[in-house]
Amino acid sequence: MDLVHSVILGFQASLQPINLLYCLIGVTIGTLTGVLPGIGPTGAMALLLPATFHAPPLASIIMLAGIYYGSQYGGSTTSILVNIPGEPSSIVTCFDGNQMARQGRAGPALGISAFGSFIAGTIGLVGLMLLARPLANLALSFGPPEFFSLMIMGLIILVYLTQKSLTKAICMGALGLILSYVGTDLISGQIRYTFDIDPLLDGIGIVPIVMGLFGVTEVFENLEETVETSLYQTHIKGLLPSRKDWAASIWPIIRGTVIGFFLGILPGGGAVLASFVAYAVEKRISKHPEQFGKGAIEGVASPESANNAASSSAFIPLLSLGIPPNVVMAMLFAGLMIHGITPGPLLLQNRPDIFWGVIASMYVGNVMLLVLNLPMIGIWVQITKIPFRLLFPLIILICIIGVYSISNSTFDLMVMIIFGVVGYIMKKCEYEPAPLILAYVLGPKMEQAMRQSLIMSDGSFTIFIVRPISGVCLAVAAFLLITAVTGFSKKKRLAVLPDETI
Amino acid sequence: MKRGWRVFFACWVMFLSGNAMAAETAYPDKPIEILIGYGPGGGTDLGTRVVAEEAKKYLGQEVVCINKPGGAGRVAVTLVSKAKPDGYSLVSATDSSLLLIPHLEKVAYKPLTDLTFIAQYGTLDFGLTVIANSPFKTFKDVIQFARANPDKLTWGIIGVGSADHVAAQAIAHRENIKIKFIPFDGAASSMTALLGGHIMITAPASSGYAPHVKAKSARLLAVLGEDRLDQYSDVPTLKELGYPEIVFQSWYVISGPKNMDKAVVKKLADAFKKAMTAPSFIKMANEIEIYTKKPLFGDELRDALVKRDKTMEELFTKLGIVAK
Repeated sequence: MDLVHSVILGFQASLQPINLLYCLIGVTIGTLTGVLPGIGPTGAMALLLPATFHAPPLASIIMLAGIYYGSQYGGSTTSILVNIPGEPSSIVTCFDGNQMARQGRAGPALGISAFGSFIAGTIGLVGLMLLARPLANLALSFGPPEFFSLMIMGLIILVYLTQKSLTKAICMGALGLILSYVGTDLISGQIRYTFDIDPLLDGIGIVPIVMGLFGVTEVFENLEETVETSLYQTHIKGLLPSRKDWAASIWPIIRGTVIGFFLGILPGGGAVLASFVAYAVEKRISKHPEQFGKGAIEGVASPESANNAASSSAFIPLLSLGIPPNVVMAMLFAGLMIHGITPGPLLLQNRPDIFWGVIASMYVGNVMLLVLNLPMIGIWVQITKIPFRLLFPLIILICIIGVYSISNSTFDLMVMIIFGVVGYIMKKCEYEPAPLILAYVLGPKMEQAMRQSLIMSDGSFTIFIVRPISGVCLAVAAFLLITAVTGFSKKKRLAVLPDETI
Repeated sequence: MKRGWRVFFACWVMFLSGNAMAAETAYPDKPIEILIGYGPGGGTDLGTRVVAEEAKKYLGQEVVCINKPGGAGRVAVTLVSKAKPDGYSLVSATDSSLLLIPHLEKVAYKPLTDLTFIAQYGTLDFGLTVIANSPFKTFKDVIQFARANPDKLTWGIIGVGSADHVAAQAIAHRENIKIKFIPFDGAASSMTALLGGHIMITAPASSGYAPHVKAKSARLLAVLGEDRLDQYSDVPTLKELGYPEIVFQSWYVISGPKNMDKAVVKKLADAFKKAMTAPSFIKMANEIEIYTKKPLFGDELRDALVKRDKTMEELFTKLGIVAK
């Protein structure tokens, strides 16, 4: 009953007009930064942080939090409409979301994405409320060996991301790993593969790569045919998901939520990994895996729910342990510190009004986001009617602005263009970008975890198997790999990997 | 069309002459840019943004902060060291890029000669931290354990060659013990590992240990600065414990390219000095524990940094870590 009392206290705080206002501002800005490819919640929060100095503490945190989970709502918009991910966590949504848009079903895609995000965000919040402490302690038990095994499991997932050849997917994964090691090695301080180019000291950067491989490539590909018409020939069929869509999506949404919730807690896990894993899981257990990549609504519902659940659960390590699991949470951490609020185990005791106020405001924020996003669907869908000759320059412009807004670097723009060309060649040779991106995201943390573990074990690899959590992850990874390659039935095998002639 | 060209030409000339006039007006007459060598949300980012926000009032122009993360500040410092010394391109950096890394790696700038130092706006203190229920009650316990169990003391460091790594190596050298260093990419990761029991001890900066020490989930065994910290007055310094040469602090410094006009430097230094007296800055600085009682500016700052650099160099040579 104490819990109910606390929740009511939280709602009382969050429903005050000033907090509602800041919440609205936060989620609106969040949605915008999510929709715009390139600039993400971190950038927006950095810009707005000084503005919060003079605002009351709860309102400031509510606004900053709203920017974060708001961006997870908006990221799918451009993914679905023009195949450009607004956020790295929306990359996976491109695969089926854009296909759905091409079939005239942009409305249902956007709709299920918004609803899925809402359901996942809400369930995630309930989880946050009830399970904060035990889950935080679970997160702590993940040391370097556990992280490594988890990342290996994540890499194996790339097998399920491919539409075509497994060998080519592995090649792309390897390339992604190699690209991720360009830059300064955190462990030895060594500079690797930068060829004395200073901007590469911190690595190539995921945003230019993603913008290049998805946005610029997309434009190049479409320029092959000289067509005067607009993007999608088919007429737009309906604006909201149908009964059938809902029936197909409800379980993916639930599964995505669970996956996202657990992966979001782990430092280094996060929304990106959650979206990839959720997609792969759906494809694996689907009765019609060959539909994935051609407009299966499960391929939109699950990852979008996963990334929202992950953004809710990312608050757990921050609020209960005082440890920010990712860069965005680090900004929130800074925001809290500025107002004299120290997140951590004492937050619940000393400032329950802040703790519960933030949580309650997240419920409110999720509702606001749903109300904001649903009517916008009608407007967004019109974008699919813009003729090519106007849309493509616009896409390139948005990509350029997006990339430049991150680090004000013209070098990044060059990287984007190079990857655009590379992506085009890749598409022609039927190599897919998804495994590359997944490997690129996992690479650095995986390497770091492996080296830390080997230092801990004095070079012995048995540390990964002996420690229970790590051992379980590796076993699951092995299981996934074996069943993907051998499969239980030939039919299913061919469905997962149509080009393989095993 | 012809008339259009004439109008355009006239405007162009007007703008040019306007610029010529501007060169004579006082500095600053356009926004000043500060490059922050780290990503958003960190101590450097926060400190710079707040000081910039307050300094605006005294400079009369916008002070724009731009994040240029990379190489622990190296990218930003390199860029500004090559910029025009007109006072509009500044960089906010810490000891890592100014004093430590240049001794370890080849960098594209010589920090003490290629930069003009303007203001120090904060100090970062390091603290030896253990988990609350750790068997180590004092620093001596740690040394005893390490002596009895060589290569078993797992010590989390934040990057090779960082201040806390060098300090730990200095201790190991002094006491002739073998420590197993586990590198991490930041205080958040190393504190997570500490709290999860995966490492035994780590020495993060104040923003890393403060929340946990306040929450009593971690304890400080010693601090690495010159004097005891006000917030933790019962925690001894390493100096007191018998290691007078192991004193580490990281300074937050705003600098510009070399050969900046002295009057411009003075104006900037004064503006930052006044900005640091603003209540919002003091509050923030105290919260993330970077507040410094006696900040240095201009030439004083330069002299102090030169001195510290020399000490670093000696320490590095003694430890056998030389520049490549």
